[in-house]
Amino acid sequence: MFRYVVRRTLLAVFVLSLVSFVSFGLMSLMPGDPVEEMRMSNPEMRPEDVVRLKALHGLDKPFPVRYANWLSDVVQGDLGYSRTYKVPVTHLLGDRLLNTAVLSLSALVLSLLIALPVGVLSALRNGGRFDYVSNLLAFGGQSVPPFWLGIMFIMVFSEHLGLFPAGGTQTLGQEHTGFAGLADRAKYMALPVLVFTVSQMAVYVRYTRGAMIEALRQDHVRTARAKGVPEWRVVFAHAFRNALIPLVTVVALALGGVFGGAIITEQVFAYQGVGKLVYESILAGDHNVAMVAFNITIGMVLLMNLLADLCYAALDPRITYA
Amino acid sequence: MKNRVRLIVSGLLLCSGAAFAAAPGTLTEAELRIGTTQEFENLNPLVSNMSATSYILGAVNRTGLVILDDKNRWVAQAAERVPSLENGDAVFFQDASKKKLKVTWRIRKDAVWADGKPIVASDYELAWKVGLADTVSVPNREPYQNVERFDIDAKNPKVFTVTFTEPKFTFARGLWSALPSHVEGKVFKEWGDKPQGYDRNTSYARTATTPALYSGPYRLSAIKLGSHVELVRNEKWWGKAAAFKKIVVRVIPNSGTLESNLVSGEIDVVNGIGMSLDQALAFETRVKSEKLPFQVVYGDGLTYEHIDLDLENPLLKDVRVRQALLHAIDREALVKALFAGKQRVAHHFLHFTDPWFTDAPADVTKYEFSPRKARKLLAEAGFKAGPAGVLEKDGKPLRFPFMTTAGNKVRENVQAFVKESLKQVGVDAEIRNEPAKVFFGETTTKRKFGGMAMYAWVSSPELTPRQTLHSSSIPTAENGWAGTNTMAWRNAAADAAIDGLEQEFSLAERKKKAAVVVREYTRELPVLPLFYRATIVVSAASLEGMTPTPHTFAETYHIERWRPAVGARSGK
Repeated sequence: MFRYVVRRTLLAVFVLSLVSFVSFGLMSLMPGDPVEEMRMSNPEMRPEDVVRLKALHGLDKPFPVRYANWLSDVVQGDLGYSRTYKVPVTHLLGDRLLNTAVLSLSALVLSLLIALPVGVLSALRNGGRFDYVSNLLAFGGQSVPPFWLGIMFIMVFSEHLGLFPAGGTQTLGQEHTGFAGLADRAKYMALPVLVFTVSQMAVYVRYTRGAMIEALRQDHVRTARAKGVPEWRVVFAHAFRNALIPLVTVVALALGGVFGGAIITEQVFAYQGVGKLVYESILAGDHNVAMVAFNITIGMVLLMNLLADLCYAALDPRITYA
Repeated sequence: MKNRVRLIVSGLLLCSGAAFAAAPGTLTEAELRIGTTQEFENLNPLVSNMSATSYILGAVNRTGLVILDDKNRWVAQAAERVPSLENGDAVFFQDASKKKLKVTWRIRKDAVWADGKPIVASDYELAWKVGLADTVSVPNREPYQNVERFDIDAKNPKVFTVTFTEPKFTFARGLWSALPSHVEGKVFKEWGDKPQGYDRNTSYARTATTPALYSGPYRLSAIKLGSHVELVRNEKWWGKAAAFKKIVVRVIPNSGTLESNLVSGEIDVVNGIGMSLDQALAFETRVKSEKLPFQVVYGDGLTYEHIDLDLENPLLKDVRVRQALLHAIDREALVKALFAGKQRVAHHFLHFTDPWFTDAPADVTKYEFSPRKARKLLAEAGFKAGPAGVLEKDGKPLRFPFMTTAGNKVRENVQAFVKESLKQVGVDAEIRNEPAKVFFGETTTKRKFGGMAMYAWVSSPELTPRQTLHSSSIPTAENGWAGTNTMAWRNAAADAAIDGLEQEFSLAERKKKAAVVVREYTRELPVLPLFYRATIVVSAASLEGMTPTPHTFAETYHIERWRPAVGARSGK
């Protein structure tokens, strides 16, 4: 097991380097850069200013040189400088990563809490009224675009009912601590979490239902029932445990993306997360910010995949890692 | 049902100690909350470049020696008076064989930083040195490079003299903001020789809430880039005291939810870079129909929307074709139909409030809406009726791409109007829109639009159009695609007039030179002028004193005039 983990970790470092190289290259192919953006908004910038600033930011160098410089700085612990916000990248990312993780994890936990029982029940009542209704809602949840749902929630819960703030991360200028601080954050997170939950929950309901229907048809489940094992034990100890294997993969991938952000949800609710920051950074050609966020997300995906693989062994005794 | 839901959730929230937003549209002197869609960077006035940053700087940085007032006139701000040749603060002198200009500035005696230290000449000298450094990312170095000497009066630290390398009529305008030398001096000394060293280590980035960095009616108390800034009253401010104790500026990137934030009481104001005109018009209708406590204020803006023509496209090389295009567009109907008449038709690049503006028939060739004239000009250019109603010449249809920024609803509406207008006279403008990043970063910069490119130019009063209309500003591979004369317009008379403008110290003579550029521009039409954009501010109806400004100095440069209406002050 230990050797397996070491091997996978080394492979992850290789994949991370490769993906960072590719993503840096792709971003370099995008037209424009922060200096071009400055030029378009500043009619007094002269051609010589454009040339000087590109040289100062190293934007006049070919892509491999720029990548090598970036990598060298990162390895030395310097994550770089945001050319858009004109501050070190570390100033920008810290709180935002945490905000995004809290939003994503809250939505993930909430959607699993709802989706797992609904999916199991739906599979047990396959073809029944509950199954139809849950399927309808799941398809609806998957089909509704998050930006539309977000705007609808804002109109209903903020504009008309005045229950939740229309956007933001916390009440500005008020230093809430302890429980009041948590309540304040919860008030701002309620609508984005709800939107995020609706779209995710639908996926998990479908996966759980499908996996459970498959598991309930297995021979060992039929055998357990024939042996007179109580139904709840058949469902949870025999069927659900097997159904968890495909679900673990999906949840692990979702966990890998907790730092990736929910760009649309964060944009609509002006939520201070990393998704919005990365989106803006890519648009502005602010590579240093985008690259750090990319690599954190890629690292998380690789880590969660490794954890998922280890979970398989725990869930299924037939799986072992040498 | 609605009440029951409200009751349950209210109960839950109240139990948890949560507080609701203030009632929409109510104001007190305790706090004013402003929403904007655009991001801002750190508040160092020398390296900042974003509109939203400039908006915030208006409230916290008043070290600019002069400023444009509401009527586009330069007036003193941190200076005691505007230097001029007439008042003797500016004098020409002969240095060897060259005529040079020396300008004396006197800083207001009461001007101080927010820590109480006086604003002195050495603060401007430090900014000059920072501006000249190759290692600092100052956007435009021309104002710094054009000063060859900076002399501080030995007897009075608030008086200094600058000697210009090239005397220009803008000598009393282009001077920079100051940097507090007692704070930033040591930072520049330590980091100034390293590439981007000062950028990364300026106190505006590292310890942004240091009071000594600010000099306006407000100073910064909190900043979260990409999210918000909080400003509190600067007790050391030397001007008229601001009414609001605290100002919060929040970034709400989605313009659709900006309105919801206003209506639900999360913000009190949407600033001039928050709402587009179509949104403001729709919101104004809603305000009237639902009797909401908000106001929409419109003002004249210097930004003008236009269509660049690719003069290297053989179809557009013929001036008669370009003139026909403008005759075919009913711009008066366009601004009425799409903007309720709130934006004015532009006949050339100068705004009607600009001192150089001319409307004289000798200077300006106007192209009224006349499809008949358009068809006649196209016929004279050799175009004949072709298949599907599109004119053709030598078997080639009168067809070219028409590009603008994809997703910009206002522009797309204008584009549809123009396309339909051109179709009526047999011109097929093919819509090929691109995201702003590609459109500005590649297509216009490298002159790849091939036909018509619609966007806006930001201007300011008496701005020499060197970057946009001079032939030396045509972007080419040789000059690294620098310059914004994307039409590739070459006109010797206009070039000569532009060259002479900067060194012309008589306003009357400058007007004559500017008129030459206008004359050539309107005769040759390298660009189709459309309209001047209006500036818009949306706020609580009880907010007084806030008016949109027509220039690049945002409304926050008069933030001390803002106050809640007398009857509204006890609302919250």
